Amino acid sequence: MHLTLHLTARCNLRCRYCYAAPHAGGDMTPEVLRAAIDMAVAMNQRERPGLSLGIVFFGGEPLLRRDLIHQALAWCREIETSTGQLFHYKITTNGTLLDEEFLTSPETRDVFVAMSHDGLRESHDAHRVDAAGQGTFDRLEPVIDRLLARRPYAPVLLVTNPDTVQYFANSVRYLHRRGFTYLITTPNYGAEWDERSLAELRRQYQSLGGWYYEAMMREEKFYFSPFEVKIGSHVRPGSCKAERCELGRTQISVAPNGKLYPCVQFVGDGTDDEYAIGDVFSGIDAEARWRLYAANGEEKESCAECAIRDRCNHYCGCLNRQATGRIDRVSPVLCAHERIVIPIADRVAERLFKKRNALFIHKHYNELYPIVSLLEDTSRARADMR
Amino acid sequence: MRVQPVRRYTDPRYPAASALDTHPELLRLLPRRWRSNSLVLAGLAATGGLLLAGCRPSWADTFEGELKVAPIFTHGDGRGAFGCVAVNPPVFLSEEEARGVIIEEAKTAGIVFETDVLTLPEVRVPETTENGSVLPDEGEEPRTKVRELKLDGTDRERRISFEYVSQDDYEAWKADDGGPMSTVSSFDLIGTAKVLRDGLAVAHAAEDGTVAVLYDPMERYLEDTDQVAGGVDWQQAEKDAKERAKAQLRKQVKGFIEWLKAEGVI
Repeated sequence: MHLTLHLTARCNLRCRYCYAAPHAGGDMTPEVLRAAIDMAVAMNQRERPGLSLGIVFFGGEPLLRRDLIHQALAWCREIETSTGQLFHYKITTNGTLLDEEFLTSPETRDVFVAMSHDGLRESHDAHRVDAAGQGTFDRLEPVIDRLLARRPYAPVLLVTNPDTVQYFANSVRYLHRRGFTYLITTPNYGAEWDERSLAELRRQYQSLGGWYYEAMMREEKFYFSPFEVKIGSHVRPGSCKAERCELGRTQISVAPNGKLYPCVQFVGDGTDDEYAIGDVFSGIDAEARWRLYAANGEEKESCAECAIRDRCNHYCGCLNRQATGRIDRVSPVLCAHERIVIPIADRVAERLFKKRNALFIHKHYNELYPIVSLLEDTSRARADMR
Repeated sequence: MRVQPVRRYTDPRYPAASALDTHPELLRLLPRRWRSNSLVLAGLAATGGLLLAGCRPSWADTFEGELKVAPIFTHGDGRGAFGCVAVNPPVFLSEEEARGVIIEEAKTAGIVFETDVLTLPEVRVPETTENGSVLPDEGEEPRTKVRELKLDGTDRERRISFEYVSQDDYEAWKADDGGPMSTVSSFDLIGTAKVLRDGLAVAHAAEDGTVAVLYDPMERYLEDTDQVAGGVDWQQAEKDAKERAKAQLRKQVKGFIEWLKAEGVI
């Protein structure tokens, strides 16, 4: 289970596609923070006893409230000592405030860091701007070096927009060249995509198909989310649905004011009551939580006849909400995206399987691949130390 | 923009994880880096991954062949229609007529085609329709079905093969639903050849080889429809059209030969 703490609604950037803007809603208080963790520990022990509880620091920009991060980590460690409850930690940041101290301090060095970055300067600076409207690409160049030196497996999160889609493939290549090996990309489903921009998106994915194939043939170890997820959805039928957004079931988002939501995309400024499922002091509204979960799991009428529905992200109520305002109304952009990406991912996978590419086969068919991969990373780290 | 359900989607040509139940030896293929990494090898051994190393030859190495597929050599429309509004219908070259032309032309380059040599167990073959194009709309996937495909000719020594897309193939590969009823029957053999080419490009083969997809050029009975006004000897027109079709097919074979040379195959 994951507890996402929206430590603050404030952000030092003004990304033009941000679904959380306009950043009203203030900061979380220490009382809310502690109550949220206590509630999540109780839920986790009840629903998933023995399993680690994930704490995700989110915002706004969570590094604006580094003090709250330290308080949360200290409180979790106390709980760990007294109850044996295990924790793991993650932060999603825009990177501008990420410094050496955070990456190396004993208190925070276990925090898994995911950074948002849109790739090439043309793409990144078009949207990821500061309060003065200035692009942040240059500011992040040294941060990338710092981050990857301390966290070589840090994921990068890239969003592509209709007006920057022509840079998508080269942006992915750029981030990969810079050293990121976990590349998580998504279109901005809330943007106005038209036939022309979608045709460009198709061209970009086709180009990435060639890049992915060549990199796999060189046996480079990396993760490119759109292809991995879609290939996985064929290799392990049902995985797409099983791993869908759990809408409050295995993840809960806490707004700065303590209100609980089923996913980060619903939080906003914490005033929306339609999708709120309780608050940290009065507890979770179990009925609202399961009602939402069940509603999201129902097959969407518009997709009932679709031949690729089991491999599609239309189950993600959060994305639907972001694009259409309703969890049960599938976004036409999401639909178009899935129709583009699934055949391209399949063609790449067919070629790699035909070649009996060993890395491809282990990555997608060997359930123990994560362990073997970890062993490989460990041996590499040992060699580097020598 | 609307949500558009995909009506049909051909099963991809890579297996689901359940294939490991019957072909566990797939996992004995190891990335090069792992082979010299003692920690990884120890991990694999501990998890049973290397116990399969002694398995008998099987799926993992049965279809390791690389099938190089030539582009389509466009000579002849490869399209035409019969029916109420089709005033100048096409003639077809049968499999036998075409084979004669192809074998003869290939011989000039020292290629000796024989029949019934090579069968590919699973090829994504187009599903054809008598009402429109076989090629999909921009951005859509073609309708295909995975079938066994016996190639029309193979040079055993050089492992060069061809598949000729004929009217018979077109009929045999028709989609089950057949498409909407119409008073016009149209044939899209060039589109069929293109989709088949893409299917062959990802097909599994036991050995390396090279293959081209050729297609019936579908020459029209009349070169000029104004001929109708002066009266037409339809038997002679058919003969003439077949000769023109054979000449176009010959050009396709020549194109294939030139491509084989450029690729260093011959």
